Amino acid sequence: MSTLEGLATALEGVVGSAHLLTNAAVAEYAIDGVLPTMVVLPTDEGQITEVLRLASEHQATVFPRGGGSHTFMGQTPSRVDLVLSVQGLQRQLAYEPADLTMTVQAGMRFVGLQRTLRDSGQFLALDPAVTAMTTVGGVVATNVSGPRRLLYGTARDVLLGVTVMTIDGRRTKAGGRVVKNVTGYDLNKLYIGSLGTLAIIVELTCKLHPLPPGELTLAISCAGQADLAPMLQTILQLPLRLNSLELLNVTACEMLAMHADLSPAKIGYMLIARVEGTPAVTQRQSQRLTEALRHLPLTRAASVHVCSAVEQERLWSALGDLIRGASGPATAPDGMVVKVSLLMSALPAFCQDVQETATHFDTAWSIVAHAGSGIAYVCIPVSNPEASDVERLLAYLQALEGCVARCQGRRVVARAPVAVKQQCQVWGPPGDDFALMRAIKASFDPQHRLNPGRFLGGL
Amino acid sequence: MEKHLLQELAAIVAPMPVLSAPEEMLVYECDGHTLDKAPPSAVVFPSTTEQVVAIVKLANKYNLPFVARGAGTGLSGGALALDGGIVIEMCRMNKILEIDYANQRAVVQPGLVNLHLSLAVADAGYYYAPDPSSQGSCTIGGNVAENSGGPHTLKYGVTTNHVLGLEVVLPDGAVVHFGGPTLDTPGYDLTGLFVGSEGTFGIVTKVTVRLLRKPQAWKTVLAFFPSVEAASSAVSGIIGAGIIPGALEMMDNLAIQAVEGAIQAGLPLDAGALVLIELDGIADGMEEDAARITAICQQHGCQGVRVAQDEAERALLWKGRKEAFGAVGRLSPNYYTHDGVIPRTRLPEALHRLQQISATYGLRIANVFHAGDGNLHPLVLYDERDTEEVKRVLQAGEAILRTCVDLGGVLSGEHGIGLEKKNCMPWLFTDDDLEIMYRLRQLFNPQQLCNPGKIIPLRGRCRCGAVTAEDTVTPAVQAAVAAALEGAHVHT
Repeated sequence: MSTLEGLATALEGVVGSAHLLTNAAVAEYAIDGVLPTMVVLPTDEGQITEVLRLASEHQATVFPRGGGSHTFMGQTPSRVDLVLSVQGLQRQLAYEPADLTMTVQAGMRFVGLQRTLRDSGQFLALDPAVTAMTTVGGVVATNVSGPRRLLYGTARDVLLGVTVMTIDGRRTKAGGRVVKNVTGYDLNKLYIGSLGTLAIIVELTCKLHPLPPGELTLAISCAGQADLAPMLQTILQLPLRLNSLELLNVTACEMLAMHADLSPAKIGYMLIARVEGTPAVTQRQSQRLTEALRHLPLTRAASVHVCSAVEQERLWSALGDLIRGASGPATAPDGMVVKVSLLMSALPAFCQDVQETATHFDTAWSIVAHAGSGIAYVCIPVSNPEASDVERLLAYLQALEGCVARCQGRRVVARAPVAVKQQCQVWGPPGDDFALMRAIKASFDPQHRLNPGRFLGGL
Repeated sequence: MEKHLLQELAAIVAPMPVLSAPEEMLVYECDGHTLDKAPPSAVVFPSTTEQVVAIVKLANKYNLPFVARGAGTGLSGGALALDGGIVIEMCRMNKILEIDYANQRAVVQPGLVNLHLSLAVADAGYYYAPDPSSQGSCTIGGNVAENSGGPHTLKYGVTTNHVLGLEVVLPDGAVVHFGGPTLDTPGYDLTGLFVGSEGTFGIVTKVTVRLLRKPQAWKTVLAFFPSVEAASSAVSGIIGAGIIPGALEMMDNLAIQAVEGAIQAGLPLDAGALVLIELDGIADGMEEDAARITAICQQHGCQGVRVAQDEAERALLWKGRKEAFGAVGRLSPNYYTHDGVIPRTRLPEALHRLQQISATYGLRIANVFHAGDGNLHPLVLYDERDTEEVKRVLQAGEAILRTCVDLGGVLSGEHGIGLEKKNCMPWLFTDDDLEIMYRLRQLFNPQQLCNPGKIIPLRGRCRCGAVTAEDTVTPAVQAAVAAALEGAHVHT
């Protein structure tokens, strides 16, 4: 790229040689195997402004990056000029526990933030499957979520304010530092989940929650599809402080059993429910739930296993890994993960349909669903990611899309080998609001240089 | 309005009439924000999405501004038709289209009254959580436009947290769908962007909302304090102890007097402040939390506590809160409702400064507000016949909002910016911040016919500093947007 000539030298002048990678070290920052020409690691907002200005002068494409734990999301880029990492922006800018709000720089590590908050008896109520590298900015930009969304929602329910750098290097903010705010358009929503295609998030203010006094996890067996709907509906209608309700099919149970000491359901499904409260309160909720299930006319009585504290911790961590498809390194995922959005009531039929489809291919796919939210993760194992396997995976995907369509859902390929991603629409087909999305992208990034081509419909 | 235009409008909505005589349209000159008034040129009542589309296309054809209006309870002038525009009154589109208990959602038309939705699903054990004080008359469509809140938003969030999908008629008449019945729709969250856009991005014609299971139990407690400062520190103490009640509301002495005068709930007239605390959720553990709350209140100098003994008493305590604004109307001919927000921990300081503002401008200020959120509602009492006093009311209002911004807060928590506060936007946002907002509006609303003159101050109309948003949209951006929009709206 002749236009990139001189960019490295100029960038070095801004961030110093220690914060600019141009040699073999860029390999670590590859996106779906595509090596960036250079990687810049600014340490403050002023540097980001300068970097963006220089990138603009040289017409370079810019790929914002947090900790790099979720770069597998999205369509494979055709060319990566400059990876701009915000992991050097790690400061906590404000934390007032009595206000239940916190302002941090985008590069702050998610795990570290939660540790700080825990000391004050609080937490940021997002629980996506993360790694030690995952940043708060990354969690918001990718809008990843976890089981607790049932009670606490997703990033759109906790993000109060955001400061971004637009592609022309301007610093702009939206929202505020208070928990209730309708002052101006709600741009927070626009930046959440926009995958760095509109602007680079540099600062975030989030609403916090008090840590619950305790939690209790129940593993509930379910004999078959016919029992799923009544069991799910019953659990969701009981007066419980239920923060998670996960649904696992047999295959998922088996995979989970490899990581957590749980006797897997041999047939049917498993539901994993987690309730909050003081020990006395969670005990009573557990009894109430068990009692209610006992009175349901089921094809086979449900067994309820109350997890110990150790079991509970292992189980939720193993579940997270399963959803991420993260038993392998991020650069060579050993599974294809498809995230499916459904109406909650369609889940039992969907599970059955997927099971039959997988059996038809003489394989087994695991399903882990946030049952109360209608979000299902279908994980398809990949034995060896070679060309022949790619053909097979594409056939699987097509069959799975049939299941999704029959249940009137939508699907996103959350994770897949690059060769598969190159031959499918990762985010699925856009809707009738896509012209507006394109116009929004064009107004933020007229030259299409910010994480180009990676989001829905090439946004 | 010209006769042929009226005829064309009438043809669209027949047999519903079109209002155009000034005396018929008096009520549409303003909404709940009564200090500004603007007469519309016509008021039209569509019954279907197709009629809304036809009206919007007609307005485009004749280059007429238009604004959608729900119940007109808005408090920032958002429903005013500036420049002699058409008011599109949505109250005829008030049906519940679908209720789906299994998936905890409903699809409704925008003219549906907020409370009517909760009433419709109550027997099945559900409700719609956002509960603005005007919920007996305000509409879901209006709530979407303003991103309305209410007392229970402390725990349950505001409108945007409960809207899953929208059908929208864009300002050029195209119909689009944002979000949907399922969660996590890929792409930009246009549902989230649209909610709270105050009618400037288009007209919502269908709303998919989340329904919640009714809490198993409630516990409603009134605590009386010698001063607002003591009450404020109790509020911080409760939140700090890790308890998030369903609602945490405060009234100062002036408001207590007004409410007691209106509904005789047995409130102590000498209390400096009262805090209404409502726990809701599962019954298990609620007694313990209530006991902890009482202890915290006592630590902060609480003079007395009253716990609602039954549903009737709970309703009475809430009646006092929900009708407090109206009750304050007993104290003076007019009052101006403000809506600033501050970080919760700054409440004592904010209330102290409100007292100073009251003294400085010689105006009585009653406070009835969402203490848990730090969402202040100072009600400035005045008489609109006294023009000198009206001037002081506006000055005091500016001082109140300045105070909120100084303390790290914002201009509005739930009433919106509308016409009322747009000139204060530069206090909080830079030209660059506002330019992005302006650009987005331009993109949804390129002809600026859909609710013009709201939210963002423009040059020439601005009282508090010049923002030149028109000039900062570069030709490159305009061209890129035009290219992206080419061939758009193919789905109409």
